[in-house]
Amino acid sequence: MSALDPVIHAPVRLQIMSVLAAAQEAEFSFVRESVEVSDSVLSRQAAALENAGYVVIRKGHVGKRPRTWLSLTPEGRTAFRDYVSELQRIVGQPLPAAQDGVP
Amino acid sequence: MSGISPEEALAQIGRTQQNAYTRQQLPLWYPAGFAALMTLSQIGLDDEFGWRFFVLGIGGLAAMGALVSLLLNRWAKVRWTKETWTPSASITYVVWLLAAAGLALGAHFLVFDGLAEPGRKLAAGAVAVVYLLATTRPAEALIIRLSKAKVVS
Repeated sequence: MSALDPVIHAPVRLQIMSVLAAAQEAEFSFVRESVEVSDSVLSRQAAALENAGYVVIRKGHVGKRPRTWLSLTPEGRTAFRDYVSELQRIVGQPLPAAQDGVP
Repeated sequence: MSGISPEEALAQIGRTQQNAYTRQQLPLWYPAGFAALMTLSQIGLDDEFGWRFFVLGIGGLAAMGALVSLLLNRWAKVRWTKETWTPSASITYVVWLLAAAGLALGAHFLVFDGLAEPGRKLAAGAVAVVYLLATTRPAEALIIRLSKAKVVS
């Protein structure tokens, strides 16, 4: 248990990292809806992940509308992969990722 | 620390990614609209340098480019990694799109061969539009189902 990354091993941050692990980049509102948290909670947790060097927060515009995009850094992707490997080791079962998945 | 067990953390990763996959849908009119534009541009390009060539042919191609650009740059809220696609989901997607082209070509050459142009192309294009309108949501649901068991780490 002690080898689990404490930055990732928290409910909301784990969900954020899970969405971003499957994406090259995701818009703030998409992550918020996928994780089902408020703007402020997502902002706070994303900032914590950014401070850890796991997430990049990119602000831009689409037309006149401001948009914020989140993505994993290479360090974040590696940390998440290591975290999942450690979970699998502890639990002793692989993720379904190993199979081509029909549910 | 957080109170989540390793088992629960693993399950949470899968649930979160599956939830995210289901939240990205094409606008229902998008594939059908693309097929309609393709039909119009084909009709236009048949008219060698007449008004249809420029209005329907070139205009249709420009509109298709604009649709792709809008989807990629404005509407898409997420860009998935290629690892999210399972082979079966990828094959289903390609077959679904090829079926639209196959239906249009089949209708053009086999069903509407008695019609004069451009009615023949319009009728064949309408077949593809109706097919895409009817099958976009079921195809998306199937593709998501085929991707659901996959968890990306």
